[in-house]
Amino acid sequence: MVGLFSRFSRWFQTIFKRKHLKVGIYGPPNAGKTTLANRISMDWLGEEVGSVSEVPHETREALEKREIVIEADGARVTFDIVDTPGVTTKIDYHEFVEEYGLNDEEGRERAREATQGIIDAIKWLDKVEGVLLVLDSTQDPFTQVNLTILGNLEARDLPVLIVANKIDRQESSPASLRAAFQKHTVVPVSALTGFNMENLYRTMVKYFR
Amino acid sequence: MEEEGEPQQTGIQINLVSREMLMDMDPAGRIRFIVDEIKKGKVLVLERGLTAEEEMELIKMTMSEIDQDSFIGVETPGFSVDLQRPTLFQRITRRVPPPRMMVVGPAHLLRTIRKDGKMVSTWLVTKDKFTPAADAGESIIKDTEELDEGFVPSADVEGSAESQPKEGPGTDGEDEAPVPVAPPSASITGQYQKGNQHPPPPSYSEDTRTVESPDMESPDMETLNTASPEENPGSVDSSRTNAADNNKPDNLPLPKPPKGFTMEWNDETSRNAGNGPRQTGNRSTPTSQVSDRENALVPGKNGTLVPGKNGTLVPGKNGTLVPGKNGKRMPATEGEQNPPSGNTSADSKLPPPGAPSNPVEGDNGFPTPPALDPENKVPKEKGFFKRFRKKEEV
Repeated sequence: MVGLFSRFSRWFQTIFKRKHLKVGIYGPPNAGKTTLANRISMDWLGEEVGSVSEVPHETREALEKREIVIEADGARVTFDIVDTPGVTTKIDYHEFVEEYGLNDEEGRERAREATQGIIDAIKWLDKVEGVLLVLDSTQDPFTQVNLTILGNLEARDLPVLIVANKIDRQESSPASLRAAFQKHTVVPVSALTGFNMENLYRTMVKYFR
Repeated sequence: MEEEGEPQQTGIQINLVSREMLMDMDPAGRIRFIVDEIKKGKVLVLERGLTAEEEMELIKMTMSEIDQDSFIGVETPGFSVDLQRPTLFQRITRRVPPPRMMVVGPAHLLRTIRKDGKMVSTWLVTKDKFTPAADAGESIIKDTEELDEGFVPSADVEGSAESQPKEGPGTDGEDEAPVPVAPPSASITGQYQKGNQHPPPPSYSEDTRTVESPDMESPDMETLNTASPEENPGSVDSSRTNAADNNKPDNLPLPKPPKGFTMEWNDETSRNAGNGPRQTGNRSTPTSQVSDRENALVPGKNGTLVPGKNGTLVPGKNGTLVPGKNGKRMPATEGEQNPPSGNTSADSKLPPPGAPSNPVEGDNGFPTPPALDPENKVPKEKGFFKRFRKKEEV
C-alpha cells in the first residue's frame, strides 16, 4: 500500500515537475560517494558533508545534507542529499589492518560499524526518491554488488543516475560503464577535481525534477 | 575413517540446490537457509538464483551475521537478470524475468574473477584439514598442503585436469597424499603469486584453484580490467551480451554431449530454469529418459504410431508429426502444414506413462491410437458428459 502510494506520488510529482526531493548517493565502498556529496554541498552550500579517507568504509552511517538548491538551465530544484555507507557483501577487518595500517582493535571496530552502516544504507532505500549511483570508472563495472544495487533500484522503480567517478585518473574507462549500463544515463565526473560537475548538475535537474 | 598418519583430504562441500527446493521456501526462509548453509562453509549452486531484492535481503542478513573470526560475508557470482534488456511486454506488465543460475558461498572461500553475461569464473579456496561429512555430497578439488602464497589466474599455466601434474603449481612436489581426481570437465588454471593472499581465517589455508568450464582459456586479468568494450566485447557490453545470449559464442566450444543427450545449458536454459512450469523444449534431459524415448512411438500419418528417432517430431504431411533425424526439426515443405505452435516437443506428444494404450495393432505392426471422432477429432464421452451419464445410470 505504501509502495503504491509512493509510486502514485512520484507519478503525480513527475507530471507537475518536482521542486524538492531526497536523493541518496549509493555505491560500493571507495567509489567516491562522500567526495561527491562534499563537492555538491560545497558548490551550493559551502559546507562539507563528511570526512573522506583512503581507507574503505570511512562513512559508516548515512549523512544527510538538506536544502541544497541546484540551478541549471534556468530550472531550480531543491535536493536533500543523503550520503550512504558503501554497500558490499563482505567486510574483513584484516584488510584494514594489513593494507591500511590500522591496529587490530580499530580494524574490528571499523568492520563492526561498517556492517551496521550497510544495513542503514539499505534501509534508506525506502526513504529516498532518487539515487545517484556512484561507480569507480577505474574498476570493472560488472561486479555483483553493482548489479545488485542497480537491480534493486530498478525493482523499486527509483530514478537512478549513474555517476562514473574518478575520470581524472588515467586508467579510468567511463566508456566501459556506459557500455555496461546502457539502459541508464551515465555522467562521467571527477568529484575530486570537480571536472564535469556542471554537466552533472544539469543532468540532475533535468532528470530528477 | 582416515588412517592415522595419512594426510586428510581437503575440499569444499558444494551443494546443488534445485529450483523446486528454493521455490518451496518463502523468501525470508530462502535467505535464512542460504546464510545458514554458507556459515557452515558450504558453497551453494542455486538452480534458480536470487532476485535483486532477495540479494539485497541476503546482504542485509549477512551483515547482521558477520563475525570477524568465522564469517566475513558472502560472495554471490551468478548470471544476473539485470543484464537483460526487458522486452516491451515485460516493461508494460512489469514482469521481471526469473533469475538465472547463481553460486553463493562464503567470501573467504569463493571469489569471482570474471563475470559477464555468458560465463562466470570463480576461485575456490580449499579448506585445510577439512573432513567432509559422511552424509553430504561434496566435490573435492585438490589436496592442500601448507601453502602460504596466493593464487592468481594466468594464461601461462593452464591445461585440463588430466594433463595437470598431480601437485599444483606452487606446491613443493613432495605431496604424496592421494590426490582426488578433479572432475573430468574441469580444468585448473593459474599460478601462485606472493602478496596476493587473502588473510587466512582460522584453520583455512591459502590454496586456491580456478575451476573453469572445459576448453575455455583463462582470461588475462589485465586485459579484463583495462580493455575497452571493443577489445573485450564479452565483458562489458550488455546489449551485445543480450543479443548473444541465445547464440553460443564460437570461441567457447562446448563439450560434446553423449549420444541422445540434449545439453543446452546456456543462458536461455538457465533462464527457463526458474520459469514457472517446467519447459521441456530446451532443458537438459537425463540420458536414460532419452534412450527410452528413442524407441518410443510417435504419431505418424493417419493417426498411427510410428517409431521416432531421438524422440523428436517434425511436421509431416496433412499436419501430422513424423520423427525427424538426429533430433533436428525439418523445415516444412510446400504443401505441408506446420504443427500447432508451442507444442511440438517430444514430451508433449508422447503417450503418458500411465495412460491406457490401445493395444490394437495396425497394418504396420504398431499399435494404433484410440479411435477418434472423424468429425471433430475428439474422443466421445469425455469430461462432463461422461460424468452426467454415470449419474443417470445411478
